[in-house]
Amino acid sequence: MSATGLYTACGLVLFVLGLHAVFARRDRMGRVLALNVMGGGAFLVLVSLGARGPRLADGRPDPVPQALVLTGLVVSVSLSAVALAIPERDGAAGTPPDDHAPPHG
Amino acid sequence: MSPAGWIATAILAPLVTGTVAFAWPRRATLVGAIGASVATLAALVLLAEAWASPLPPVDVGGWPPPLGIRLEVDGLGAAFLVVIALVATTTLLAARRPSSPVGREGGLLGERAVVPLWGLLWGGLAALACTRDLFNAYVTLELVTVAAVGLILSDGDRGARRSAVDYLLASTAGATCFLLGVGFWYADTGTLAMSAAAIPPAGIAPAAPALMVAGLLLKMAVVPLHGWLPAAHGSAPAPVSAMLSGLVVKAPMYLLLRLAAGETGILARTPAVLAVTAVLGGAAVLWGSVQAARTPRLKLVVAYSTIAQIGVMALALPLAAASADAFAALAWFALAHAMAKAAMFLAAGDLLRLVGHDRVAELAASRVRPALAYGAFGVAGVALIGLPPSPAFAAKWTLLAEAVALDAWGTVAVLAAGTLGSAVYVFRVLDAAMAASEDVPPRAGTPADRWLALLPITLALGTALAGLASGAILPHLGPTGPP
Repeated sequence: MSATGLYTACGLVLFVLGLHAVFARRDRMGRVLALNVMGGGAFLVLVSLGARGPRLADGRPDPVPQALVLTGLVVSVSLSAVALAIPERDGAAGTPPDDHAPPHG
Repeated sequence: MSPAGWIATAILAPLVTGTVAFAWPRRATLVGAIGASVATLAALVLLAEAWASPLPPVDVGGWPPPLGIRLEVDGLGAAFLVVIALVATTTLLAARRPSSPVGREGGLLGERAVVPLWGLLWGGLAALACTRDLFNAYVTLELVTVAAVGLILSDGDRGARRSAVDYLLASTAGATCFLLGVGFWYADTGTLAMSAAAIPPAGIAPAAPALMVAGLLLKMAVVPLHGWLPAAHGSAPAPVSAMLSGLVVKAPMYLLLRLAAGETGILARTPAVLAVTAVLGGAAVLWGSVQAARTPRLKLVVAYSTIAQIGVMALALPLAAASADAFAALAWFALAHAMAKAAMFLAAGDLLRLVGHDRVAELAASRVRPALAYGAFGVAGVALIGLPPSPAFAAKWTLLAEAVALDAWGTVAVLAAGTLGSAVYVFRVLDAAMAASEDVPPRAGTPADRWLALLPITLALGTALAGLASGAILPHLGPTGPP
């Protein structure tokens, strides 16, 4: 397998591992990390597929997948920050909204 | 102003409004109202222009795609812009009423964040309506998610934080799935456009459309990927839930429609993906309807109703891919549902506020019968079930006719069952209003606020009556070719 083929395969593995962990884990930090691993896998696939694709006139690789990944990184970091900034001071994991709390419209 | 100017206004006005409202919190409501008016005006102008003749695309900054962003408004996009404007304005007005709890009940984000987040959400949705490339769609969807999460957090309910995090994680997982699909798509076709014309004669691996659709289904809360929705929509304050169920889950549906646009849609070449979507949609219709009929809490009835109606949209997707009439009908259904659902949540919120509790079974026993709130809920219910003259009636009629023509009897059966199911859960709530009682004023301390009931009833009536114009509107909602 070529180098870029290896990277693509690794990226897919990371993606699947991350996807599983996001839904399987119960702790906030673990799920956010899983989301980042998933994102990292997707970015790796994008970049390695871009490296295999057609090149620019002067031999540099296609810049579009790299632009996509850069934007994706920014989005990923921002969302991770939001997810981690929410404090965990509510009830136990998996409690549905309180059926007896007074509603407020 | 040129169309490019109006497109820029439609997207920038809400964003600028949000920024100004954040810097000037004392006048946030006024700033919000002005910004909403400007953005609604831009949407209406674009509707008039796009429906008269095709508008040219706009390359932001003059940079061409794929590295540049191309904005384009067609008939369907303009209609979506107008619906976004109507729902966002109505729910913002409801959220900013002095007696509304949004941002005022000790949530993580206080009152200062409400109008800015509304502006961000609106701006993101408007940008999605104007975009025709896959990656820009991804970015706008994420923007919408962040704003929606922020709005859920403006509520003090204990469950709100948990459900906000669940929603954020599920939505981002879906978005990453979508992004991976876009990566494969670009590797196979060399373009980010949503057009089947880009597919090389040898075809592409089905992984790209499959991943994109899977990501969108997760964001839309189609069964079995729906776990996050009832808690998130049920625990947020009513105007926020109205935005969430009305517009935020519509955004991935709009994108799905674009992907399934007949001959030129990406999904036309992958019938397997369409078939799976329809099956999951059917399951969502049945499961959502049953849960809505069983759940004890009023807001959860409306939230499960969203799951069922999103299921109808997913179920009808193959029909939309097969015929332009069905495509327009599904688009009309989705747009009308956005307005009807928002009205229903606002009505439910007002009902809750006046009756004092959330339990459907005890609504009839309550001595308080707020007529306007029940009326608003009823009219919104009419629009939701699809009774004439509502748009859903015209839309479902066309979809059923298409399903019969294609011998898709499973689809026909589920559509019928779903309609019956929606009648069951709507009447379940209205039943409480029909029981005899004396006219009792709301409990002491609840401020009387006619606006909180007038807003939903206006939106609901407008939606229900808009069906009368279906004949004039449907031709403009058809799938259009590649830009």
